[in-house]
Amino acid sequence: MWLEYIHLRQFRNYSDLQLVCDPHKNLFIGENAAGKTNILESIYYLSHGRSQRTRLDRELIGWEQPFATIKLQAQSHRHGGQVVLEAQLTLTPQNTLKTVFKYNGQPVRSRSDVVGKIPTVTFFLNDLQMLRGAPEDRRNALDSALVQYDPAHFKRMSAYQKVRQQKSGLLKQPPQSIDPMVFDSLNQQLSITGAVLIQARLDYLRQVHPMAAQAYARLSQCRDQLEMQYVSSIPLSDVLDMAQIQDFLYQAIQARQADEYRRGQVLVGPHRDDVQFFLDGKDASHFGSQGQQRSIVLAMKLAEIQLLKQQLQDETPVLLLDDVMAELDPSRQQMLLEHLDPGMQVFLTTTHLDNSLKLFLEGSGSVRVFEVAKGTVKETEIICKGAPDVAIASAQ
Amino acid sequence: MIYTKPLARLIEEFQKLPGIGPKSAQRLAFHILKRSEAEVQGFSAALIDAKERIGTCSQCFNLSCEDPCELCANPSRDHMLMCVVPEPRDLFALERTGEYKGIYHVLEGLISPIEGVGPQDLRITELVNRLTAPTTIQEVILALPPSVEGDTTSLYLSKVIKPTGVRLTRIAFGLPVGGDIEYADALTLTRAMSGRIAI
Ligand SMILES: [Zn+2]
Repeated sequence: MWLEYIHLRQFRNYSDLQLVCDPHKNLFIGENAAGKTNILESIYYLSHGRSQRTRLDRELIGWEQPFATIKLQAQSHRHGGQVVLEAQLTLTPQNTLKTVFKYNGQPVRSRSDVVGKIPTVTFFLNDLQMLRGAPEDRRNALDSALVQYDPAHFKRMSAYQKVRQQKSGLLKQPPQSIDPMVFDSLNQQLSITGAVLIQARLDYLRQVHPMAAQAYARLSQCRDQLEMQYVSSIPLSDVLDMAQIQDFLYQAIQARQADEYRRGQVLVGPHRDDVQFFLDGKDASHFGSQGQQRSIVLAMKLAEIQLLKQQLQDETPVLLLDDVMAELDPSRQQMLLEHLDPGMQVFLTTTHLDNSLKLFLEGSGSVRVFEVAKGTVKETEIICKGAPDVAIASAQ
Repeated sequence: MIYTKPLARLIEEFQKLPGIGPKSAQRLAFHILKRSEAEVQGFSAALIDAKERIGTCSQCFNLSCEDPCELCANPSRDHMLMCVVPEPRDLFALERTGEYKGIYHVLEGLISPIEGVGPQDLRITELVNRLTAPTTIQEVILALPPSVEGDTTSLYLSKVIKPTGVRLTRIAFGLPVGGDIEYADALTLTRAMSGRIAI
């Protein structure tokens, strides 16, 4: 799978951007806040059906503009040729947002119909802090990877989310005016939709775990065993089936009813679950060094690529690397770049070219380099091959 | 001010209608001005007439000029079978199929805490009264959309109807207005896998 063309209109800081992409390596170089990440965000948006930076789609529309469009054109043998995805975000005169998604020119029923059509693996700067971050960061990373592996997960999340919103709405009322039967009806639905979500996450972790452990072993070149555990508000073990998870979840919710009434919040469910990582049995979030934590994240990403490739029947996902290279030490950079499939298309952003990036660009496969500054993107020529000193010459 | 006052007022009124933006409102207003006076008289009379004569049936809360409505009063309908729908438009949709021969109960909405709609805002007490008073009804069919609100209402109704001993079923209702595709898809998945939504 590779993206051949990107067209953005009134998207973030781009009024009209058309990019012809390289099938292998695309490098965006520019200052911070120049708009490099916006380009990756547009790809992420159509791949995931949402932005990685905001829950409010209207923030994607350029300043004081009435609409934004994103169009991606890709080549895929899995789809038998060209795939075109499009999103149109329009502000109505009543200031509500209307979103239309299209797949090969045809409007689709809902955004879930475009999710996973252009599979991506993303590795962003804040992913590196995942182990030290909040449970939400690890949960989001898990769900994002899962959506690419199994696009139906998008619907699972959105179904659960809708029930949770209704329950939150109910719990905002004063406790004495909450109808206990409405509360129970929502709890029943929360345990059904929640169980599906938990089951899917457990299945994914079971699959990704051996691959991540293997990648970690290669990365760390030591005998530390990487283990991971899904941490839930309900007791979990490997023998659980969907019905049991549902029952446990329902009981756990009932057990905290008084707390939920008092605090006016939904306290139990997969929206509060977490993933814990262990090295030789020790919690890596607390006891791991920064280097070990980064290796774990990197190992997870490599496993994600491997699992996704397997799922896509050996078609490669598109890799989005935002600002992440500069933060990795040379050995980990090399490790990441070495493990990239030579056929895999990569979009990377960076503020400067360092040696390992230069080496990567110099390696096999074609390259396009784009200079990004204040909403303009200019392709620049790179002189690489055969030249002992890697340098970039501006095309102008 | 571009429009003469009566025209501006007409546009304004059209714009209050659901789904009508400024452009459509303008188009409709200009269209009205092009019609003959008799046609416009007929149109305005139809509005007033509908508003004045149509009320709700005190039994099923269907829209009707009569009380009880034509459906409730019709002895050839099956009065042992009751279908619960959110809105009159859902009743009309079911009637158009011609398949259903029983009577109805219109809830006038669905339970939705975020919109501040609770059971007390719907015709649920009236529904339970119809089932507990000496009644002909032996089976209730819930025809509620596949959405969080539709499911919450179904689950709620199953709790309040169970004690009456009346048989309760829920029909697959396609995807009518108010249905939620993503939710429905995810739940179809769930039901297929767990097969145990309690109702
Ligand atoms: Zn009636």
